Amino acid sequence: MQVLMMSLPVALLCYFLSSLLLADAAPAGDEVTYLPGLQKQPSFKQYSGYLSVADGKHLHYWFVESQKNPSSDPVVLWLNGGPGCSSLDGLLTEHGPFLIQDDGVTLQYNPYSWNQIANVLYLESPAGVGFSYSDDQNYVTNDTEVSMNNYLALKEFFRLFPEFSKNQLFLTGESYGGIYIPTLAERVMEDASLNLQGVAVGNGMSSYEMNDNSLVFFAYYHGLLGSRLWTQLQNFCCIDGTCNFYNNQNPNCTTCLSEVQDIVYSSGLNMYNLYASCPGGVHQRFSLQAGELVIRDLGNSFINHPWTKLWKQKLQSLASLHLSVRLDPPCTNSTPSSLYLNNPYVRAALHISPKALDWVICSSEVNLNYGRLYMDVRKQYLKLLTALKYRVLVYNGDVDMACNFMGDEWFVESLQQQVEVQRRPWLYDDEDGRQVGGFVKEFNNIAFLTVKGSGHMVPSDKPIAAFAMFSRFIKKQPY
Amino acid sequence: MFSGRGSNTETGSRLCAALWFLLSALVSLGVCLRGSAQIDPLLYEEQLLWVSGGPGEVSTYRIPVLTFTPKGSLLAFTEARKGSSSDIGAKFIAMRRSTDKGNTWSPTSFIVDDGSMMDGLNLGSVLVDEEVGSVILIYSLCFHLYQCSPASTMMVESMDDGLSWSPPRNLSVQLGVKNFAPGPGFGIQKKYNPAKGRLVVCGHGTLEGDGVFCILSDDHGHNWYNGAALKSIPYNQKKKAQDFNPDECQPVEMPDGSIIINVRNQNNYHCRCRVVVRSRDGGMSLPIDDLFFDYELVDPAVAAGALQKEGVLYFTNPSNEQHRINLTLRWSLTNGTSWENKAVQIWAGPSGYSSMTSLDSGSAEDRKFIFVIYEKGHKEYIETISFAKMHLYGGR
Repeated sequence: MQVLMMSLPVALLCYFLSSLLLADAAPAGDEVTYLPGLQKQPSFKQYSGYLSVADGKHLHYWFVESQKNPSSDPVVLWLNGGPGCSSLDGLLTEHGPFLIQDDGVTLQYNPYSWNQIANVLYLESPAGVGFSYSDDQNYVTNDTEVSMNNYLALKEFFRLFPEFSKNQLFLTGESYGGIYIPTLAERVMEDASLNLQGVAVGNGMSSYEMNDNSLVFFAYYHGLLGSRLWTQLQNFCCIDGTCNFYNNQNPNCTTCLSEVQDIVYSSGLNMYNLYASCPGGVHQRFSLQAGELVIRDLGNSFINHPWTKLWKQKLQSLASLHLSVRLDPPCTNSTPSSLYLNNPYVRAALHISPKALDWVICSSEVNLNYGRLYMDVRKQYLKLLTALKYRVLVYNGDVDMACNFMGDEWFVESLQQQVEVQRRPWLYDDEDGRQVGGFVKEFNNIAFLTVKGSGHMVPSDKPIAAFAMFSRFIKKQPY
Repeated sequence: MFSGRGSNTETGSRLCAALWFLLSALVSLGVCLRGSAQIDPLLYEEQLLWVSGGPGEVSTYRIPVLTFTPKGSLLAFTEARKGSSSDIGAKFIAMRRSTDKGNTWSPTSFIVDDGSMMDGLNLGSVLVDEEVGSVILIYSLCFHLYQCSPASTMMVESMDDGLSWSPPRNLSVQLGVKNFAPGPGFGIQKKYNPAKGRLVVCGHGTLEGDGVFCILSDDHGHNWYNGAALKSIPYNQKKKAQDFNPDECQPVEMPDGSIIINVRNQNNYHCRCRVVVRSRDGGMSLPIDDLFFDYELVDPAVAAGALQKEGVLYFTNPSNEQHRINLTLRWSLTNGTSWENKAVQIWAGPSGYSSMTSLDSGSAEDRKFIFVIYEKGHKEYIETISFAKMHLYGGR
């Protein structure tokens, strides 16, 4: 009895102390203590778990602390696009601390990892993507709901990791992240408890119209279309030198544009990097493999064309007929990542919920049912720029055709911000000495930057240049 | 040098031109000295061309230089120090261009980028070759030999009024690798004999191996050779306070064809004032006989501006024995042998390096103004680079 009397206050004290400690400590249960596939466990801390947001949605995150100075380095959120694709692709194949090898088992350390200088939060969003799930298994969503849930996930992250809440915060992403990031930033900038410093978008979807219009020019001037087709496009889609390849009603124009689409998307070219080979060889836009419908189209281009609309209807009817539908980005080998992440030991190490589905790079269910509400993000960028305190970077690998550099360059120009430094080459050092990384044009608080010779996944294609760019961006150094 | 360069007829035409210039100089001198056109400078307009931490996330903008162009534009250059305010470190050369006499300026261009050099570029002298219509910018690389070797003297050139620039050319192949920091300010093309047409760029060496050194070109900047040297004492040895240590300098051609060089007196030898030295042979020599200390030009040891326009010699510096404050414009109607009492204060507060130019088309508008670019701040002089338009006739 006496023992109990003695121990109760002690226990209370312990509880009190531990809750105090918890108030400024990461969730111990989420810490990844042993990660399969690495020859040596990392010296930095990493966490994997779930951020619960509205309506029983649970978003999986993987947080890798900085290898330099976690307590003072910035927190960088990273979102891959799709819509419906997993940010773990960014971690395992782009700029994570270790990259997946072809065997689907081994991880190799990446000397150009962005967590060399930043705490990077990889978030699988929305629910239905990767290991993220919803209790009700309803994965129909749209841009507004996604930006809200991403915002709530960020809040939840800082609730779990309060020791990082004072650090500088950057929001970054790629591809359809071009919509996710500015629409999320619009919410984050209203929240004074989040220390937002800037946003960066790589090969982002900024405007469907500019993306479509520029792509046709890009394709012609990269030698893909030929003079007959180009002349027809000029005749049927353009008036007085102004071309509308986006929502042109002229049937002759749309016929030409379907030919353009066939060349760019279906002829076997790697749309993510014109000059790279296509892993897995030439594929159709969809195919049947072992009773599974495989779609290789994320549905971001020429959305206003009758052919595209027919195509989408066809896909949706096919999808409803097949039990299993897989969405593979074209010319992307996601087998190693899938093998690795579906390994039960890896799932256990990452604290993946038994409610989560098998990991796939992109969710066909999310993608096919996604509500695209923003046709451009001009308003969001202008809001950010009007605040006069955020650093914005729009960067593009210049041989990508999914979100080609010209469309984003036009987009940034269309914001009509004051030019601060005229377009110029930017330099970085690699093993061959000083190199031109690409070109950069700096406006007041926003820069447009190209990465020369890189495709859609810039850190995969040009890791050294990408790291130099990233480092200068978050450290506010000149490009 | 001179006789080997051109034919006799060329020499003859040069003589004629020289006579014409002399005459016109005398005439304009007469105009200036007439009572109706008394020099009465007024700070007419001023704008900040660069703010440190501003365009391109550059840490510090320093060492401004300014020039006219053959087409009547103005080009302003400055070091854009990427990571810190230090003289060493990686930099861009930033440029802005005005085609309306300094009223509006283009956005900044970074025309040279030294990447991530530990001891990068340093400005610099800009000069205009009016005979071929080029603008030449001379700068140094690795001047301080900090984690690099050797130092290089570099040149870029624009044939289109500053819109585009040639790739950098290393002049050390012709000049050797002695550390040479041109200017900062402008170099000159000799307008009068001796050596009319010659390009003359003067600068300084390292603090130990310091002194005024000039590099010369008689073929529009294709080939360069070493000209005059006024060495520090003790040369190539550690200096003490009050040693003779001539440093950053600004050459100006006078109507008699001599070159006056106004020099920073680094170790305050003899006075806390400017050293003035003269070359009468087109920058080949700087005899001690022609050196004097200008007690009126009190100076805290800094790069100063000098300019000759229509027979009047102008001088800008932070006029203070100790501190870089009080940027002041002075003028001399006697080729620098005396200065008018009525100096004009451009900025009372912190102010550092300065440089001047003017447009010399002879039009009424161009006759009215000289242009000053200088380092200006409230707490520190490295805060901004400011462009000031000085009306020479009181704004009237």
